[in-house]
Amino acid sequence: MTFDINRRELVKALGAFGGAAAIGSLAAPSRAQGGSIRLGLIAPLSGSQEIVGRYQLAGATIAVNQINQAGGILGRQVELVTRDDKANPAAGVAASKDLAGSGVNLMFGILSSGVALAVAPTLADDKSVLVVSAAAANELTHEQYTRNVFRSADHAYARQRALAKLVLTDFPDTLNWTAINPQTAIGASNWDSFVDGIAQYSQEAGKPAEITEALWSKFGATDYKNEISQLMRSKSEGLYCGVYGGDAVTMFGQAAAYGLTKKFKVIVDPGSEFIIANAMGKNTPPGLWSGFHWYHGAYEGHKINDDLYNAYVKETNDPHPAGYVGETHTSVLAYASAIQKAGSTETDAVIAALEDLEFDSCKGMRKIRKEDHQAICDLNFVQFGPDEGSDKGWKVTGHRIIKDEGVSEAPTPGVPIVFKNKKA
Amino acid sequence: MVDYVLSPLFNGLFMAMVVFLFTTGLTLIFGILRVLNFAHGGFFMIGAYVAFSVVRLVGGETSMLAYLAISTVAGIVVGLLGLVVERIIFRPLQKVDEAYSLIATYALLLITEGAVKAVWGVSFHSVATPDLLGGAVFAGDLFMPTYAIFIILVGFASYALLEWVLQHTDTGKLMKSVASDPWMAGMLGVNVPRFYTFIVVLGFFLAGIAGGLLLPNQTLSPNLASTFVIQAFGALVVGGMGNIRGTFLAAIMLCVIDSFGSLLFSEVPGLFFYIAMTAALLLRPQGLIAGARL
Amino acid sequence: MRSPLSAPIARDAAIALVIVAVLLAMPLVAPKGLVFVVGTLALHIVFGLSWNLMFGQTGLVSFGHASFFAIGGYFYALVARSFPDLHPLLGFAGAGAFGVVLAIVIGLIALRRSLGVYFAILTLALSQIVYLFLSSFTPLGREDGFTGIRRPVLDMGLFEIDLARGDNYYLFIVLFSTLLCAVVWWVRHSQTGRALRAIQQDPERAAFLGINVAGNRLLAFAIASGVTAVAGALYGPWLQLLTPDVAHWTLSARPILYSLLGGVSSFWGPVVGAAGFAILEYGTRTLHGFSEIIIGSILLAVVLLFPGGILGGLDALRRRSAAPARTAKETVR
Repeated sequence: MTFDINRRELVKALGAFGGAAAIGSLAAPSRAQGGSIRLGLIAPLSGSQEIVGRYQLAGATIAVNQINQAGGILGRQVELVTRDDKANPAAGVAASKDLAGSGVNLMFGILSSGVALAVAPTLADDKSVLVVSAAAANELTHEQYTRNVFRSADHAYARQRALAKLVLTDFPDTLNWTAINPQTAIGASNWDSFVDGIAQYSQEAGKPAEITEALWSKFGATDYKNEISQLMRSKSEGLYCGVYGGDAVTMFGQAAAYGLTKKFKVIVDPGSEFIIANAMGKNTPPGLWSGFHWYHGAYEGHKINDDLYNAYVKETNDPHPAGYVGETHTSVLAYASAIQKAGSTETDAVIAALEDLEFDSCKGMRKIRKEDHQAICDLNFVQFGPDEGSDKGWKVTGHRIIKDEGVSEAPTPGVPIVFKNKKA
Repeated sequence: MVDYVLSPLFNGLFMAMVVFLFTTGLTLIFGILRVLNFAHGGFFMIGAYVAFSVVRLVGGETSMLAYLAISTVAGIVVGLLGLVVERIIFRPLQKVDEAYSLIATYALLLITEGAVKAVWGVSFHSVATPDLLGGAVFAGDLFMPTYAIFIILVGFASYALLEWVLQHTDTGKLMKSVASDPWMAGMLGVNVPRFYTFIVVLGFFLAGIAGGLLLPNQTLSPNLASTFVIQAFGALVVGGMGNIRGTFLAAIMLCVIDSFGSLLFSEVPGLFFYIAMTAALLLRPQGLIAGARL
Repeated sequence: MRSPLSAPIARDAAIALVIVAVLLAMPLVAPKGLVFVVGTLALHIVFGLSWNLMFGQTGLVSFGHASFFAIGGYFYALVARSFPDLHPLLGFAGAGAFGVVLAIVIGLIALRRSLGVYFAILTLALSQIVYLFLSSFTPLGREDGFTGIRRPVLDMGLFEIDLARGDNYYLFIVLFSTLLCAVVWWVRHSQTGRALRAIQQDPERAAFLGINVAGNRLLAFAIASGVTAVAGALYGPWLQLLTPDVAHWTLSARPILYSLLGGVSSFWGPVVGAAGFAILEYGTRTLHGFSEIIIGSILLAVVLLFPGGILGGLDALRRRSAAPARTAKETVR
């Protein structure tokens, strides 16, 4: 099964938003007060992360359509304005300035933590607000905290600690962990958070775990044979595969001949979602737990979840929406609630309304903390395995919701997280 | 011993053959037309996507024969694209300064990326190795995936074949004579433009077939186009500007050094490829195999 | 080879004046997004012009020009972070000087040994080393970049200018870039420029005429690298962040594209090329998914229709209309 949001969606998006936005930005900047409410989506709509950008665009489009069909916000229609950040910080800053210049002060989206960290400090000057829908870097709500940035999605610390909790519950005897990680800040920060969780929860269970030093590989590497050989000699039983997305597909593909997936008892992945299974089909590593922004199957019966899922499948014919779809959808809902509460779209009013906002989303209630602007929400995980019988070659073999009860850290805006058990 | 000598040697050799297979078509076209084809990776990628589509079409067939046949189909499709590219781009470029072929082929690279996205979308795909190559061979403690052994053999075989064609056949002699002096070859009755067409088609065919053969090794995505291009340029120039033997030796030298380097200095993987490349260019600015065309 | 335009200083100064006036007026009329793009364009114009100083004047092809942009940028950022009291102008000048010194060291080793494509690929290899170094050296932020680069306060003795306020940094970039372009113009039209041109046309004859070929090439490489390093230094505070991407080969390809697209034989070629590229990118920014095909097709059309670049093509058209007897082939050459 390929992911086919493809041309139909694209052309539609173009016609509906792209064209209008292009004309809009050429006209003199205006804050269409009485007219529609304009929300700016910043996403990688081209370049190496375009696949994620299309999910983000789909989720945002569906949310805006749903709101408009229900009569809009404060009786005004919502208009989606899109800008491409190419997952590149410079393009991201240009995109946010472009939006601000076109009179769009309420922005959301952003996949790459590098882009989010680049855009964040420039927002105050432009009097803009950004609700981050994906970028998970802890820094965004800690040392790089700014008043103009919120995150309606989960962050690295919560997600990876929840993952640690999951594996220690399901595999209490797998106590020696190692990892292969990309040399990026998010790679390091994911791993530190996971180790932090393993250390704390295994201690609490009375069986302290052991961490073997991680391997670090270049982001976007094409050959993992040297790393795989090293992993094959490792004495660990659990593998944290921090390499994600296309890199993970390359790594697992090359590792097949070595029998890497048989060597480790448990393999987990911080957040590749459907990418690995979709690409690898019947060669999907059996039992792989993957972190999800949002897994629709875990919330069947919850109306927002079901409506979003059905709208997505109807629009794209793709039965496997990635969590990014849910997260941009959520960001739009967050704005909708905040604008409703504030009765205004002015930056300061919306910031005040977003603080301490509680709202329902595709994965249930979320609360945005006032102190550090981080949302507290459920953490989702899905387990995959090969399925010889089916056409696509893989199936979901399990899923889990972990409630954020003590998973997240206490808010300390401006101050970095202190990891437990972090090796110097 | 195995960990620090044989294993990196084997992995380096494998990488070298990946780079060499990628670079053959590039070398051929550069050696004869003097066009540094930036878009080569784009057509390599199209070859891989075509192979992927055929694999899907025949229902995920993973027999050895199908794998080779499908790679050949990919080569033929890309070769035909080469025919079109030669007519509308390379031929007009022959009349202008070499440097302009840089922009033209860079533009072509962008177009191939856009076209792949339009046709195949942006999802990641992956194709398993054929069943016959799915296993591994142990030599003592040395672990060698069968697929990697196969690619190494294919690399050496391709080199031997190309070398034999160039040195011992009439076509090869013709190629060398056109490469070293197209004007003189034209005077002697060679239909140089038609010959150029042949070379471009052959170069593209090699790119396409490499795309098919290397498909199981890489994730398929529109980013594949620029994955090997810098290493390929390195092997091409360190080898001596468009000669097959030099490219072959340079690919082995650079990739094996890099493999050992990455082991010693794992903080910056890939660094030693470029250090070796710099050193080689400074010590032998004429290239490993100097003077020879092809 | 057509003899270079003996551009009268008055004409070039007039063109420059109009361009600078338009750029300075931008913030008054254009939205912020466009102003940001234009500020970046000003630095890219410097980037392109300095590259063409090497290529258009001495025939030297560098394929790693972006590494000097990156080195200048990271140098300034590091100095500004380590010595917050240092005058920012000294920081910018230091970045330029650092670029010059580095270029001289590299040039002394590389230029004597290799020319042409070898030099191009050698600079490519060196720039990849810079790229890998920047993406894995922790104090510089690795893959995620050097964050929090501030726009400085300029202490002008009698008064202070806070570049962080309003459009001040944009205006500063435009004026500073103009100065850097003027440096390139001056080098090109000076005694040195004439020597460089002689080398580009025929190195052996130039050497016979007593021109120090190696020395002048080194000079061109050093000046171009230094000017680019300053442009890179200006870029850091503009984006308030630097990532290893600024050393990537795709950025090194930019000045080459600008120069060839605009036309290498004219001073204004890279300016036209960079502006053309920026217009293409800005124009296609909302055409998600189609931008590559559109940009690629337009570039291809320009190369095939105007093999001498946009300015070269216009020039050829003008001359063809002036002297209809000439064949198209002659004008292309």
